[in-house]
Amino acid sequence: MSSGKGMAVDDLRRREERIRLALLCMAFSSILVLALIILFVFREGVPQIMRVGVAEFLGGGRWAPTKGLFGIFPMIIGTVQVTLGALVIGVPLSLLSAICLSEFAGPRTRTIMKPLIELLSAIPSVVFGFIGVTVIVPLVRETLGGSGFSVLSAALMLSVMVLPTITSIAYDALRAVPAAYREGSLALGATPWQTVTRVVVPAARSGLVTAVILGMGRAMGETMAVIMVAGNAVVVPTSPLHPCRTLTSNIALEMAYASGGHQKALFATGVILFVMIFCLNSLATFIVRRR
Amino acid sequence: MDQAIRRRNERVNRIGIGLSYLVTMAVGLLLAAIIGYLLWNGWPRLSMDFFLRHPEDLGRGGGILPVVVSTILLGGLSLAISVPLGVCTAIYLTEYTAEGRLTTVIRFGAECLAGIPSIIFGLFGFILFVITLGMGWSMLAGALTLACMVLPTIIRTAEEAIKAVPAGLRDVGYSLGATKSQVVWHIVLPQARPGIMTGVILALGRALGETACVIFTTGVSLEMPASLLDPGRPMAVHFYILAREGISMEMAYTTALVLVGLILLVNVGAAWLLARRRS
Amino acid sequence: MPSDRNIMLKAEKVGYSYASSPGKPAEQALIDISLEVDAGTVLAIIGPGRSGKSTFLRLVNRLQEVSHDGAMTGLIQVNGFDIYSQECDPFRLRRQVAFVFDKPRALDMSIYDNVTFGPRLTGISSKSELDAIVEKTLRAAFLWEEVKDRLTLDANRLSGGQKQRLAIARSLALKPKLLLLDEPCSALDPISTAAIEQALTELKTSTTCVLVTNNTKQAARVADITAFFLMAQMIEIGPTERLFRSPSDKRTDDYLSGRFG
Repeated sequence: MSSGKGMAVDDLRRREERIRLALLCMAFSSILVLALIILFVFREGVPQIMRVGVAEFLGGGRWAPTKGLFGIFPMIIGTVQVTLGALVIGVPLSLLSAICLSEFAGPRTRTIMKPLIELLSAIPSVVFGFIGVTVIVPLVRETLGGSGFSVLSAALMLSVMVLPTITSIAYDALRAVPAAYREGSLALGATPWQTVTRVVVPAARSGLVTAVILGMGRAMGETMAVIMVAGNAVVVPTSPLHPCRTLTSNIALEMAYASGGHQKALFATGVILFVMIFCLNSLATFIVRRR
Repeated sequence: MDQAIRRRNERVNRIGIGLSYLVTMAVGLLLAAIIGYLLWNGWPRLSMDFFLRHPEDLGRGGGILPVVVSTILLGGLSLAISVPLGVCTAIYLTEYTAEGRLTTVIRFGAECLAGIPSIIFGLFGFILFVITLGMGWSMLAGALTLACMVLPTIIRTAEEAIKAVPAGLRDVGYSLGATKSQVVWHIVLPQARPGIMTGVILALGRALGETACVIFTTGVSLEMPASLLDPGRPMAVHFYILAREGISMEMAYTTALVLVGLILLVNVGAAWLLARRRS
Repeated sequence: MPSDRNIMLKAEKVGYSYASSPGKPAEQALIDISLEVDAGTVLAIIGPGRSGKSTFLRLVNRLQEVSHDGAMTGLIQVNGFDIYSQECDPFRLRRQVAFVFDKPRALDMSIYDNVTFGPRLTGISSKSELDAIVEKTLRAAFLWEEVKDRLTLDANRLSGGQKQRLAIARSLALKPKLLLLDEPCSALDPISTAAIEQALTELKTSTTCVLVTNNTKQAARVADITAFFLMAQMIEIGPTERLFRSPSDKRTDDYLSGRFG
């Protein structure tokens, strides 16, 4: 039967083992890439932060690379304002859409609307930025004054961009609420709307919060679209109609011609951005795990 | 008293439901509005010439042939790098190990990667591929960077597709004398192929729209890339430059139309593939 | 007088226990199983659920170790060779000891490719050879007449009974000495069941069969020898007719009479 074929068995076993090891090495690719990103970006950026001084880098209000001034405070504020603005506009809209699709819409509406909303996320950010410039900026300029290139324009545009993300995760969170909750509430005489707002949404709370946090992460990381619409002035905006510059725009705008310490400062900006988004994503994962 | 409260609740109910429907329809229509807007403004310049001619006058005239070539080259190459890597990772995670510390670590890596914004990938690609490894601004540097970016997507969809293969089929393979690698290659992968293809196509859609991570790695040359180490300008970057530098609004609209059209085609194609498999 | 018996399958004091895991103590699935199966016969293993019948079967073609962590004691010999010895190549073994599962499963390919899957893995590629294998095995499985004109059809379009007969043909393509069947008819209608039982009866001269079945009547119809397993042990074994007519153990009698099951 299989006597005297010891050689063949071992050969086969050795080949299988080699395949397994090869696959194992490939499997580490994602970790390797992550490690490389952290290594190279931090290696360029962190020394620069140290050289400038953490407080001065994060809190300094003047960004003038030619004079050796590297304060990114205005950009941090810019990012925060634009992101919060996008959430203030986008979250209610996303939640309403998610609620409609999950609780009220019939299956036919759902099969049409859901892919439409998801396709919205496939549109590249440069196209959104372009539409922002040609449609939103003039609109803001004509109705509210100013140049139109402002925090408000950026927030409006970003809110549309994060809509699909938040809606889709919120939808999943709402769907996960057991039918028994809804049935119990309706049986007690509550209207469907009351059931949704008082029972389903609170029950899906952690999933909804995750959706918002991930949307926040996406808004924070958005670059090209914001560049085209936000005005890019390095000032701390005191009104939504003022222009602003975000951390991401800062990097993208100046990378093309920066060198030496200036370039390293841009990497340093990247480091700060990375840390902020990493914390956000970890928070989202933590909330999901806790549930 | 009771009647009044009940009537108010019902009114709130109707308003709430109506409002949510309104918003949802509006959002859904947004997509149509965007496409319509681009179509309206971009259609006039669209022609065979547009695709086949070289750009003239920095892009104000002529066509976008080198851009098309760069786009295809970049997309194809980044998939050629990321797909084998991602699929092998997925195979290892599902077929060769049980859930444990190792799989948690690998998955954590992939999840983190998925959350990193593209501008950081741009910085990373620039410092590693363009500068440190000396590739210069090139298609290769851009493709490697893009491959890193879409890797988590490929891993995730490949894993789902492989997990969906019924467990019993593997037993059939073993019972016919197949080794583990043979079972994976001849039985599991062919069965998972449609699901994997869908993920690959979706990753392609993402790669096509990317600008921030590409612009610092492929350079911005409008020349036709003759080799992998030549710089080039994929469609999203070309569109960005046209729009931002104000070179030509007409060309910008048309380029945007082609870009969005291409991406939508890719996404719809993926969905169609998945639906066809399910039937 | 020396016996002329050709023993195809021999088990000697076989025991098997599943490894323990957090929250689950080690489980003894088989205790002290010893039996012998002559070449050219059909052994049926009957018994209530969770008696170890399937586990035993999966040990005979070393399929159990692929997906489970457990410890085996004792000896299993196929055609005289210790299948758990170092020299034994499990891949080659599984071609000599074929297995048919309880759920009809077709590989996601044409009928032709399903049947030729095993032979192609061993390197057989000549079309004439493969064609001959396909016809021979599909005839033996009583499926040839139904599918001979549509061999390129996707095998998943077949009915459950047809898929199971395809599974038998697929296993036979490797010309195994021993065919193991784990409740092959449990999901099938009576007509398909009858076809498979007829196939087994005609097969046994060239391929020894071991059939695990929950259906005692099936054992009575098809098997030369029957073994009764209960709670990880083999209670008794003997010629089918004798076992059914006058079982030596009361538990066997109770099971056959339907007093428990």
